[in-house]
Amino acid sequence: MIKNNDTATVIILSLVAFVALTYSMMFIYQPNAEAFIERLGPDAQVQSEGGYFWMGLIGTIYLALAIGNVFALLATPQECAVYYRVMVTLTFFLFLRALWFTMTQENASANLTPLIVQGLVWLGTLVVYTRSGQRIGTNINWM
Amino acid sequence: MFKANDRVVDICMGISFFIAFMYGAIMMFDSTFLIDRYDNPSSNPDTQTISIFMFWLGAANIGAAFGVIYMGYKGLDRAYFAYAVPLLFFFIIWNIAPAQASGNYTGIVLLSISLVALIIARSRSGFPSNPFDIPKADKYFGTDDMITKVLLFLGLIGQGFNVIYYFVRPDAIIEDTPVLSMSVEAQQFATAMMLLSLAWVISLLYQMRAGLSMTMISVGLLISTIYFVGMINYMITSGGTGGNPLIGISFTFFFVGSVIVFFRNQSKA
Repeated sequence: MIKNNDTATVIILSLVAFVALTYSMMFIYQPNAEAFIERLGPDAQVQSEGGYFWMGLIGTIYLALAIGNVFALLATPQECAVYYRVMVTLTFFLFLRALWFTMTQENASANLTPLIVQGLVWLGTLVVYTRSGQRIGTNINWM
Repeated sequence: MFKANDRVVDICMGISFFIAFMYGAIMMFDSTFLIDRYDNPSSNPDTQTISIFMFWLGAANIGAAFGVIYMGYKGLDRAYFAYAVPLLFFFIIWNIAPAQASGNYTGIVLLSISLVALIIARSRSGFPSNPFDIPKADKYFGTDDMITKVLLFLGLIGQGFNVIYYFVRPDAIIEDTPVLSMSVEAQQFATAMMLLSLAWVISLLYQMRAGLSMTMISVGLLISTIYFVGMINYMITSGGTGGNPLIGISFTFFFVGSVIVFFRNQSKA
């Protein structure tokens, strides 16, 4: 059933799908979203009903990404080339964003978990893309 | 689709998918929609308990809808019918009391349509018309893999335990879970959870005789993942209080077992 024969890729895609599903439920359900915001640190605690509405929207996107990763497992790496590139770009931007927010937070006791998780997901997608053997250029191989 | 090359089968399975997915989505993402239509909030103000039960039932519906998608690619599978047909029948019976109490018969009508659609699809698929005419596999669950076999036996024992335990203590799932509160409606949903386990017992018994079904293993993996992720979210939200350790252990074993069985057997599908 799984068309990707690379074990590392299968493990990473499965884990990212699992994490995305966890985050989707965390954001879609308001009590979970409130608990998430509470744990982000004092700077993030001001959240209105509108904020939770948009978190629900992000949760829905996470849900689609979780399903997308399962689709990627069921297809050959060649069929997933564009998906892998999109995921590398998306997770890279999200990592940069998390890095920027962490760096600019005034509170020194900021929660580093989102930054670390985002970084791991970005590295994971990079590994998946590299192992699929579809890098067009060599200029970013050092990553 | 469904490797049946029959438009009637496509339409019937499509109807069944639509109903399962619609109920799954409503139950998981907006349970108050159904609660408002069946329940009287003045007599039972506790919607949290019902919402938690609906999340579990919604996941089961999403799993059933996923099974239809899976069979759309891989072909119709008798094990799915051995699961879904009794389950729909049980839930039609189960729906009678809330329908009579609320005067809302929509659920019974839609579940009946889904059941009829599945029966029509099955009757046109070339499977033996006698549901008890089950071919016997060489070995239990039709596999040599001892780990798969042991896990499926454990699943059968676990689901069987759920059913038996319900008859010993019908209120156990509510009384032993601090976050759930007892009410007539909550007890009704506790019965639904037992019926869900009963459908799994029937499907696993079928697979024990005829051989394991990747359709049902995939359905189980999806449902167990949703349960497990829901449990993690609840633990984070509640700070680890209000849960039921037995349910937590069951969901964890269900998830881990499903992952192992799926990855050990997926190459054969």
